[in-house]
Amino acid sequence: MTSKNTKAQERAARLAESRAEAKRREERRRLISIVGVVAVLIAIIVTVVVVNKIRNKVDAPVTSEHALLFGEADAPHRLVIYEDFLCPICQGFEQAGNEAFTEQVEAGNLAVEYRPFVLLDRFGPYSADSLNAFFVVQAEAGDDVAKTFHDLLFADQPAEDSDSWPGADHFVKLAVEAGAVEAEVRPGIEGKTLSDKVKAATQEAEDANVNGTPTVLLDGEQMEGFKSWEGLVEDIVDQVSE
Amino acid sequence: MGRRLALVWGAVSALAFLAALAITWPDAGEGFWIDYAVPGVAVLLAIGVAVAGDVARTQLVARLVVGGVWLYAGWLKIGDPAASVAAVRAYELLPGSLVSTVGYVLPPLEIVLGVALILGLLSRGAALLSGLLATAFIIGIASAWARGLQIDCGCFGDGGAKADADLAYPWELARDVALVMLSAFLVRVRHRWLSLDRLLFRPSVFAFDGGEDPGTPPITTTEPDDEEEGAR
Repeated sequence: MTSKNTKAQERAARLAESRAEAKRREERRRLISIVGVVAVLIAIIVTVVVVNKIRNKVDAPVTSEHALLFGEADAPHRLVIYEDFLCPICQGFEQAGNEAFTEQVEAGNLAVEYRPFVLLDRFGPYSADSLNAFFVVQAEAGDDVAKTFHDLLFADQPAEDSDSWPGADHFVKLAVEAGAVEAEVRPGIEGKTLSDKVKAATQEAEDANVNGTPTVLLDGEQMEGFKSWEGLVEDIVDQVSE
Repeated sequence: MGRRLALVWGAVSALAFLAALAITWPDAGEGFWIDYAVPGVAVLLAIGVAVAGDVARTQLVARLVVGGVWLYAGWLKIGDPAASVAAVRAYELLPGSLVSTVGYVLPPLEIVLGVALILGLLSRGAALLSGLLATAFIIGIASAWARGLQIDCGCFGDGGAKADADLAYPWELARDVALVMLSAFLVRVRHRWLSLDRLLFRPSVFAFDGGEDPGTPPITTTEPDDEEEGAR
């Protein structure tokens, strides 16, 4: 009787132990699977981030034929701004920085090189039309008038999701306000005569991996680590006025 | 458990929806359809659990809806990381050194999160992360609103300045509140009908889950504790 009992107990104990062992193995297998899946998911995210960062690394040419230089060419610092006349953030950056940058330019510390191109053509014709008008004004009336025209374009910017877009008359009006002669700029604006230059400027920006506006480079380095566009203006002024 | 939780999340989602409706009235129809749909679905699912007691199907639909929203949001943003960075920056909330990284990480993170929820892969962890992420967005949007910023939330692409953003914030918040509620439900309830977790983590030695017919959803009333479900 006793030996039978003991045997039964032993068997029960062995069974319990093998069950516990199986359960431990099960837990371990589970843990390894979870860690493995998490690792794969994190690896996917990291890969995408790294690939996207490489693809979007801005590699801007030192000089551009489709730019407007504001300031002296030999100023100690150069700020390159890639922008789209329809881009609201560009407008915000202009409003935040225009005055401070002008001060630095007049003090001889800085030259600002605007490189406008067409990024937001998905919204309509405005990006390309405004850029064509800008190039026409620059060609016919010179850089100073073009700078004023550039500022007026941002000051009078339509909303991205507009239903109707300002036409040639609007651009001619702003050009004249900036100091251009109407008879000189109207044909080019109406006939969109510099659309090849518009395409070339846009291609150049695309080749430089500029996928967002404004993209800002100070002395060839893309500005990235800033909290807000106002903060970026302060950073730039700090670096330039040292 | 399930029934009481359903009442809570249904009530909170309905309140968020009604609050958004009241605040934006009479211009409530201007927003993005997902912002209306998510709180609506959350209320319907809460009714599904509270009245029909069908946890199995509810968790599946909740996973598909929450996962679908993340997947869609990430998909719209992944091709344009520069815009994503700009959208994050527009909140003026994160330190400059983090803005770029967060902008790059968010789209693929949302896609992976969405796929995990839809497939039921590590569902509880994914649901937890989903709830935390939606909570972070609630904080971001509420803070932007409180500071008087007029920005697009950048949730589904776009981002940056936006006119009449005050009309969008309540709906964006209602959507994210509903996402948090549905995520919390998915963390709490361990039913995983039609999920990869069932395949991957099904105990191979002991059949804890009672071997019910895999072809039909395990009809579980909410009375027995859902946590007895073996496969998480």
